[in-house]
Amino acid sequence: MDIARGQRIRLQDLISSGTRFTLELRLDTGGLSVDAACFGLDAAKKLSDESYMTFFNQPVTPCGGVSFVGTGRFEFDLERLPPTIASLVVTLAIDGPGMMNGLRPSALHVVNEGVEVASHRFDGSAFAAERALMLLELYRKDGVWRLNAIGQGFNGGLDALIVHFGGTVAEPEASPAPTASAPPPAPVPTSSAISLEKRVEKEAPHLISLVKKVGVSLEKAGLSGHRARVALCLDISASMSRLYSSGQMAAFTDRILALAARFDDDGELDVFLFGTSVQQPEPMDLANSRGYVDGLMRRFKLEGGTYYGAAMKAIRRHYYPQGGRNGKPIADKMPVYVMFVTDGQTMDEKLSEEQIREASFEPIFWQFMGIGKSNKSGNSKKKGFFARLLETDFSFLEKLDTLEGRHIDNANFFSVEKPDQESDEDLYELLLLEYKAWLPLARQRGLLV
Amino acid sequence: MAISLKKGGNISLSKEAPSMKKMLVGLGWDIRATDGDAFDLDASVFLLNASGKVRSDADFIFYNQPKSSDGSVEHTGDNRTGEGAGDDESVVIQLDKVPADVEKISVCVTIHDAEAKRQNFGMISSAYVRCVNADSSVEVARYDLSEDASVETAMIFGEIYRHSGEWKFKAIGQGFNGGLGPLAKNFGVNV
Repeated sequence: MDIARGQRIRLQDLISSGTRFTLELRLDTGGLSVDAACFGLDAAKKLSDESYMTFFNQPVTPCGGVSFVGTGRFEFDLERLPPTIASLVVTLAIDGPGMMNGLRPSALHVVNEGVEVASHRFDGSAFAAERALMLLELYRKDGVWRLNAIGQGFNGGLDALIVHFGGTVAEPEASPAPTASAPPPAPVPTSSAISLEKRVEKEAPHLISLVKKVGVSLEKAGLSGHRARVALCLDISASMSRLYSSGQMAAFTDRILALAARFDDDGELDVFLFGTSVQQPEPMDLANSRGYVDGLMRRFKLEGGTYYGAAMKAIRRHYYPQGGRNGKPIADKMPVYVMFVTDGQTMDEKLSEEQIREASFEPIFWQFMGIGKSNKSGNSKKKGFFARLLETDFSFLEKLDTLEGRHIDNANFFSVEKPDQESDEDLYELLLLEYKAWLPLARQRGLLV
Repeated sequence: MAISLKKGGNISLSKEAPSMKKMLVGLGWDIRATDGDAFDLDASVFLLNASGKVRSDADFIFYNQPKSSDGSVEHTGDNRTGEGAGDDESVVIQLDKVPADVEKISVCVTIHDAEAKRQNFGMISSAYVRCVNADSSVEVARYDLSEDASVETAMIFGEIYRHSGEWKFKAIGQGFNGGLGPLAKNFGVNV
C-alpha cells in the first residue's frame, strides 16, 4: 500500500509479526548531501537518552531495537525497546547547501521479511525551505505501535531538529571583529615564482589562482622561497566515502598541490592513502593533477578502519628509512611537510603516539586536519549532549599539543566541518601558522641544517 | 466519562446527559511546531430540516457568520493557528432553543485551504472534535481527528438529531472532499 503524507496507521495492519521490520530509504537527493537518523524519544517526545539517536556514527541502540545498516536502512525490533521509548522518528538532514524542495522522487519502504509491504513516496514538491525533515514516526498509542508519515521539518536544519527534540545546540562562535588595518602590500613576485606561474598556466591552468594565493600567503608568513618536500596523507576509511564522491577531497587535494608547487622544487606532492593498510600511489604533480583523486578512487577501495600509526610509520620510512630515535636527531637540508587528513579517531592510538614521539627526532612537520565537528571547535561547555554527540572524536589529535616525551613539538591539529570550510587564504594561513614557528625551532634542535 | 465514538456510533443525549440544555462542540489541535503554513482548523454547524438541507443561508454557522438568526447556535470565534490550551474553537448550541423545524444539526470540521497547503488531519498533532455538556462540562463524545481521520481534510463529525422527542447524537466520522465551500453547498447553502 501507499502511505500518504500525514497518514497514520496501525503497524500491525502492515506487518503480521507486528514489531520486526526494516525501513529502507531510497533517496534521489538531486545532488543534496542528506544524512538519515532515527531518534528514540520519551513520552514527552524528547530525546532524553542520547544513545537512542541512531545514525552512521552510532549505528545501534543499547537494546538493539534500532539499527542503522548501510546507507538509509533501519532495522527495527520494537519489542527490544525499553518502555521509556515512546516513539521513534526517522529524520533526514541536509549537510551542506540546499533545501528539501530539491529532493527528487524518493521513497521510504516498509519491508517485512524481505517483502515490501508499504511505501511512503515523497519529493521536493511537498517542501519549501526545510533543511531537516521528520519523515516518519513510529509511536505507541493505546498499547499498539502506530506509524505516521509526518513529512514536516525545519528550515533551521539539524540544529532546529535537535532543539525540537529537547536538545541544545552550540551557540555560533562570535566572528572576529573586522580589523581596521590596511591590507598588506602585494608581494613582489620573485623570478622563480614567475616561472612557476608560467608553468602552472601551461600545465594546470585550473590551479593558477590557488598557486597565486599560496604565493601571497607564503609572503605574509615570511616563507617566500622556502623549500620543503610536501606529503599528503589521506584517510580512505569508508566514512570518507561521500567526501570523495562529492569531489570535496579532490578540491582539497588541489589546494595542497598548490602549496607543494611552491615549496617543492619538482612540484611533486607525495601521496599516501591509509585506512587499515597504507598505500603509496604515484605522486601528484601539475601534469597529472586533473582527475588525480578520481583516478585514485577507481583504483583503491575504501577501507574499514582508521590507523594513523601505520600511516605515520610508512611516511617516516619513506623519507628517513634509518629513523630518528633515542635522542639522535636526524638533520636534513629540507624539511618534510605532511598534511594528514582524517575524519575519525585512530584505532591504534598507542602506535600513533609512539610514532609521533619518534618522529620528533626527524625534520618532519605533521599537520593534522580533522574533518567533522571536533570538540575542540567551540566551547564544549556551551553545548548540549546532542551537539557533543554529533562531534567526531578527535581526542587523540587534540592532545598532540600537550603530548610529552618529544624532541620538539612537531605537530599541529585543527578541524573543519567540511574540507572547503576555510577560504583558500584562511586555509593556507592555518597550514603555515605552526609550521613557521616549528622551522626555527627545528634548526635550533639540529633537525635542519 | 467521554465516549470515544467510532463511525456510525449512536448515543442518546437524553440518556448520557439527560439534563443537557446547552451543548458545546469543541475543536482543538496543537499549534504547528515545524516550519510551514499554520494549521487552521474551522468548526462549523449546519441547522438542517427534515430533508437534510439548511432552511436558509443563515443556518450555516461558521467563523464568518458566528450566530444563528434565532440565537440558538453561537460560534465563539476563529482560531487560525491552534494556539492555546484546550478547545481552540467552540460552538455552543442551546438545544432547548433550537426551532422546531430544525430536525438535525450537523457538526463539521475543515482545514482552511487544505488543498493549496497540502495538509491533512494526520499532519496535525492532537486534533480532535468533541461534544461537551456545557452546563456540567462533562464530555459526551470525542473524535480523534489526527489518528482516525489522518488522510482527510474535511469531516462531518456527527449529527444531533431529534428522535421520539429527544436529542440523539450520531457519530458520522465521514470524510469530505473539497473543504468548507463544497460542504456548505452539499447542505444547500448558496456559496
